[in-house]
Amino acid sequence: MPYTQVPYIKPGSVWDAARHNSLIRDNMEYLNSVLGQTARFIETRTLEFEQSSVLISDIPQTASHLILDMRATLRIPGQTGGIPVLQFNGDTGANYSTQYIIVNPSTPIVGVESVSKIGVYLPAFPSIESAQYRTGALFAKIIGYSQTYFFKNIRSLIGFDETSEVGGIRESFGVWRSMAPITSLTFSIAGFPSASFIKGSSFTLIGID
Amino acid sequence: MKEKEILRVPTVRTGDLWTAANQNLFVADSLNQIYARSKNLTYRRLFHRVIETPTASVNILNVSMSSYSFLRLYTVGRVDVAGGTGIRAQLNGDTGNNYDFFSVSYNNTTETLSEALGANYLQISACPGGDASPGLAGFSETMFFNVDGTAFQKTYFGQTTLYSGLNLGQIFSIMFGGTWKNTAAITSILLFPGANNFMPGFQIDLYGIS
Repeated sequence: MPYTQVPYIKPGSVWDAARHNSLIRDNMEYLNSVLGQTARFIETRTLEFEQSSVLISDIPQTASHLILDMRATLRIPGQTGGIPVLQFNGDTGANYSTQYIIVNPSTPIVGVESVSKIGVYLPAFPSIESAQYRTGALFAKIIGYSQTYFFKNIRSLIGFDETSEVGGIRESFGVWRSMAPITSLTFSIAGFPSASFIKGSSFTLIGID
Repeated sequence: MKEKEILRVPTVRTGDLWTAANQNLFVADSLNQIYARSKNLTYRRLFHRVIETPTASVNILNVSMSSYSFLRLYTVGRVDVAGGTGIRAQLNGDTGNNYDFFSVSYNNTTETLSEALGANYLQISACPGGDASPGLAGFSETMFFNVDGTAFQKTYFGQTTLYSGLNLGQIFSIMFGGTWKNTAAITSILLFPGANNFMPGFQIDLYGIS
């Protein structure tokens, strides 16, 4: 039912139940349905100190899709970059597969794929060990994170400057083989237990209703 | 007109006087103002559906899509045909050969390019079939540009991740793009699989972006 403009009333006039129902109740239902369908901020986590892993939990199930905005620099001794790993709902089993592509001016690589791993491999981020201080900015979408019919998918894109000589665009798409709704995200760094996300790295989650 | 402040409605007790002035201030002004602001939302869901029984097509219309500059469409799901198939779209009920599209698909070893000129649909996604392992699906995001404009033909771009199996080589990334050769504002989108039906759980969400 469309919205009906609510008129002013004069002092002393009667505001009867029928008018209340049509003008207030129906309008409120309309506005509730319209205003509840948009993008909304869920959480931003900005690290105040270096952490080897980052957990975002209690993700509300009220939206249909998620957008992840991740801006981070890694600290991996002796490395110019590394690969963050994302696990859902604390699942540390070999229930994830990832494919990604790398595009840079010298060595475009298409179709690097890994199956049955312990997390989705996100595109590589720079390490503070590189020649200069650099940050990676990743934009990812988790389409249908709260549905229970199918596995879960994340598609992410990053552009970053790994060294003075190597930069590029990397894209990954991964699957978590579970039909459970996603309630938490855990980020760590593949292959380097002592590696960390440096202070100031941030993780922002937005829900799309 | 300057926006009025939306006031918090006070709590009244039985026996309190609720005056016409209160009614005008807290109810009429506030509700009307909220409505005015709702029309200016920059990102708004226009359509949401989760298929409950096998369905041959879904027609999205009467959702004011032509008042937005962009449309973003998400789909998740699969189709009940062996081997899977593509997901197609027709705009404004146009069933003629007025669509051009191309795609590039790759897995871990192979890149495949294709193009269709003068087709009677746009290809926007691909899905595994009912014979695939449980849980596997196609995930797509499609953007339609210049939705409300009438100067140019309509273009779209989309990305799909398709999981046809659990082994190496069975994850596909597909990018789609193309044109509906018509300058009319988009008012409806008909979605249908290349064969058979959308399976239960197939989810469709359409958003308008101002």
